[in-house]
Amino acid sequence: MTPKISRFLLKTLAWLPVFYLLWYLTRESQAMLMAAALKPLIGLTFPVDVPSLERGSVLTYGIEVPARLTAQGGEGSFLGTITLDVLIYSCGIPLFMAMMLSSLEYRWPWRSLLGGVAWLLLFEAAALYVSLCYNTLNMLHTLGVDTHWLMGLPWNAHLSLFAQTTFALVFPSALAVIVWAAFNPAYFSRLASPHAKRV
Amino acid sequence: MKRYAWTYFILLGILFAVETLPSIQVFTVGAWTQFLADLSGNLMHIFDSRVVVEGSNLKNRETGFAVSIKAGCNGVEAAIILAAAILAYPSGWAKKGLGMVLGVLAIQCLNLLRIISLYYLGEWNQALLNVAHLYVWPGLIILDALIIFLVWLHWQKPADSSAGLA
Repeated sequence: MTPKISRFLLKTLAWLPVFYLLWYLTRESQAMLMAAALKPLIGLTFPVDVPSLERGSVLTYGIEVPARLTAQGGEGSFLGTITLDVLIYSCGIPLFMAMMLSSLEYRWPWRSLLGGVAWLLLFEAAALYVSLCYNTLNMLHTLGVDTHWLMGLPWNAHLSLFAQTTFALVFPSALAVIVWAAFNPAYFSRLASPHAKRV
Repeated sequence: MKRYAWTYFILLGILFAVETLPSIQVFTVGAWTQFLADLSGNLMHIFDSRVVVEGSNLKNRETGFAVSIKAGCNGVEAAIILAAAILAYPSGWAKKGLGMVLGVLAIQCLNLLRIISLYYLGEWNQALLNVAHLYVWPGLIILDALIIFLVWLHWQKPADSSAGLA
């Protein structure tokens, strides 16, 4: 490992605990922000009213499914709940902040910092929405409901796993690195270049 | 840079679509996950005889505490992210192959450390296990993949670097 890469790694590891702490302490605000951001989108796309409840970093959505649509049939409705932990979807933000401050060269990159966090928050909202959709589809499928009831979406085991893997598992962290590289192309190239000055 | 980014995202999508195919999940990802559970259990057993492997669970036979190694805990996703980054870069196939083999090996070594650390963290404090498992370790594994990629890029021939990311 070159000295420049080592220095970048050590700085990032030093900043990480600071930003993880800040990020963890603001978990309730993050949950409120995401609940507010998702509300209009859910209202526009879901066929029923979907109330939400925030507790700590966890958003709980209640979805009322008419019993006549289930395998059992009958009157009334079932209330299914979907819980989503916003921290799982935003865990790339402290990594992004730590990497940004570790790649500081001459001045504080405020624009890049804010721009990057804005992209990551946008992704977080999208990932939470996709996760709510596939979790609801999974719940409807388990209840024996025709899943087309939800926005005309079919249930598919492969698509469900693909959505879960990419949106909840991979991209929250991976996107932080991708956004960091996109906002620091020159620094990224210097880190990787064999001609970079060793410091 | 734009061409590299497009190639990278397309490769990433293809590799994840393949990884989540039911047959690949059962025969490759599932088998790898079980291998990791066995390997980490056997490694831990060297210095801690209380640890036993039951299926894909690492269990303390005295206290009954156990952690389960599941799909998503196996480092495959981080390996795919690194492989896509290396494959998308304009370089020779031999270098790509070497980079992927050594890179995936390095990711899996860190993942073994992650599994072992989570087991002992969980024995000590369940809340800290959740924080480390869900929020901290995913970031560290991705950071590991980035560093491996940077080191691999650094050792490319100068001629290759001119065709690269800048």
